[in-house]
Amino acid sequence: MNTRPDGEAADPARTVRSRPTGALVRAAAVGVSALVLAVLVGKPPLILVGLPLLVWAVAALARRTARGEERGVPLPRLRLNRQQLEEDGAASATVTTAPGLLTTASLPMPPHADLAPRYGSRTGDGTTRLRIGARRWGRIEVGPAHVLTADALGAYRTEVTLPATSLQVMPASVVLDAPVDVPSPIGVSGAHLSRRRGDGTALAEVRAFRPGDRLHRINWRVTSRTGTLHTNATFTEQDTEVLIVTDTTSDVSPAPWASTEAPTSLDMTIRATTAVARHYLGAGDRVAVFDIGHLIGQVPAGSGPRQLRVLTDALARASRDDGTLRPLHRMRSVRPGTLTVVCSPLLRPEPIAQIGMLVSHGADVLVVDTLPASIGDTSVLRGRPLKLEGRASERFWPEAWALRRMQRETTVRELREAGVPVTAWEGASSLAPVLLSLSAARSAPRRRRA
Amino acid sequence: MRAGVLIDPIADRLLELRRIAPVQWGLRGGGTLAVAGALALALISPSTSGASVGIVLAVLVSAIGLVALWFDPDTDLGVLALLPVVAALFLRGDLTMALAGATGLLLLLGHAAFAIAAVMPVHGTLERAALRLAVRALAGVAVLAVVAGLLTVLLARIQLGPWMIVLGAVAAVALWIAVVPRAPGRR
Repeated sequence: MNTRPDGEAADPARTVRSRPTGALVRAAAVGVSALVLAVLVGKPPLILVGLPLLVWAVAALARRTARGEERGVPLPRLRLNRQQLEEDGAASATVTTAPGLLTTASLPMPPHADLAPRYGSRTGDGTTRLRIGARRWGRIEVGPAHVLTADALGAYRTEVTLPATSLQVMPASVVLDAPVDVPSPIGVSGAHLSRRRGDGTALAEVRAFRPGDRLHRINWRVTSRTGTLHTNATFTEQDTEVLIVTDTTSDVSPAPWASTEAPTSLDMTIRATTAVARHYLGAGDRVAVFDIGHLIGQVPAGSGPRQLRVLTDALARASRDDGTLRPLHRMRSVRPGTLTVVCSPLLRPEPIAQIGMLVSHGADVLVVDTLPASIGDTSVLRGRPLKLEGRASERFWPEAWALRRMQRETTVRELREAGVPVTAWEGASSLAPVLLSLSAARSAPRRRRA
Repeated sequence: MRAGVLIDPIADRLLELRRIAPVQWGLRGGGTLAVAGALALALISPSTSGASVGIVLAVLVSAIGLVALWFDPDTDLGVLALLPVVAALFLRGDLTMALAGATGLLLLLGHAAFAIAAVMPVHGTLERAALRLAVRALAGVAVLAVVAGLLTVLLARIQLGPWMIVLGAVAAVALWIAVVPRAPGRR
């Protein structure tokens, strides 16, 4: 009876029948022909011509019978060693049958991932392993896997297609090099130092005792020196809610002359979202995510490490290449004073209209520009068609994008004139100067913006 | 018509050849050399003078079979690559045991190479464990073939009598036990 590698008897329902290959047919035909001719004409040497092929065929049959494979070979199994990993991480897909079988597994090349070996196919003895390297976040479909098993001589084979399995890739973690101060803290407890006096631990001043002050805050040293009751006044500790508006409506690839590792606009948007969320969640603030393009879905406000896991899980489950049309979402209102970080390449009118709505509702808006820098780069334009991979391009994509970027500069200028800082995403240090200026502008007089 | 329209598809096909794994080149090339060597041994003799119609036909048929095997090592048309060797030796008047044995082993090598090539994808890599498995199995078959060949040579010198029926029957029963599938639950 067939046995699995772990020694258990193979379930007949988990076996697959093998069929003879063309090689077995050829060996039998040539071997028998030589034998028959030798007997018919009485030429014993002719037997030696076909004998090796006959022995090959008989050995294959005998081996198959001895291993009990005439009723079927174990059904191959596909297993991933990890279900989740980060960008630039790697997982391995292992296909297992039974020892003594040539097992070949072939995987289609998934988008935004590398395979090792290069073309995604490897043959092993009973088990074979393929390595998948994730280049981009999102959900990667590994498979369907085409598995071919054969005996050691290649006389019998089976072919099975195993269903695909999902691998979730979380965005790469970037630690923001920025202050955690927020322009307008809203809550009444948290990590941010406010300017309001109240219950807290940070000393604001020592002043005369007033009715209503807490007795344990009396400063007895000053009181004994001055002869009148004095108390310690403190700043309240506050938190805030940070809203991250993510524009997943566009995914613009970098220019062909950019490096192969250059991220797309969607990659930059998601990495910026993750970095900002991690930054403020680490400071104890509440973070919510509103996704205009509904690729990752809405993430309600939450705080702490759990909220970060909720967010990264939502990102890892997103299938960025599914091509389905998704309805765009529009946020109707926002609490005044909410720090809102909008991550967008600013190409479509919907996100820009959303920024206007947020500003009109009194949110402190900061825009992170996630259009790849190589897009619309005019430094490569020389007044003649660009050569890409040795061929002159017959299209005018670089010129078209240059014009589009110039149009977009108008939008960016108008946003800045309306008091909305726009900063390009360049990694960990992108937001520090803007957040500092937002905090400094907190005490400046304001007027309601239409 | 621009030359690129004609040349580009051909160039693309040639570039795809780069994706073929070295082990596939080795298996198919080695198999072709072995079969060609067997055909040469079968056709070339001291009495051969120039290319006769028979020789040309044998080479042509074998070449067709080899080309079919290059495109698809699992094709049944591949038998055309091997049968001309048997036919040439059948028609040869000065066939010796050594020549027949050498030809048979070359045919085995060529056949085994294409058989393994058929169960691997064209662009796949081969792990060492799989290579060891295939080489061990083939070595076992080669040893058995040599032993069987020596037995054949010995038996060819013996005047066979009725006593051979007993040996023949025992051999047939042993072969039957080895290859016939067993009932479930019995090993």
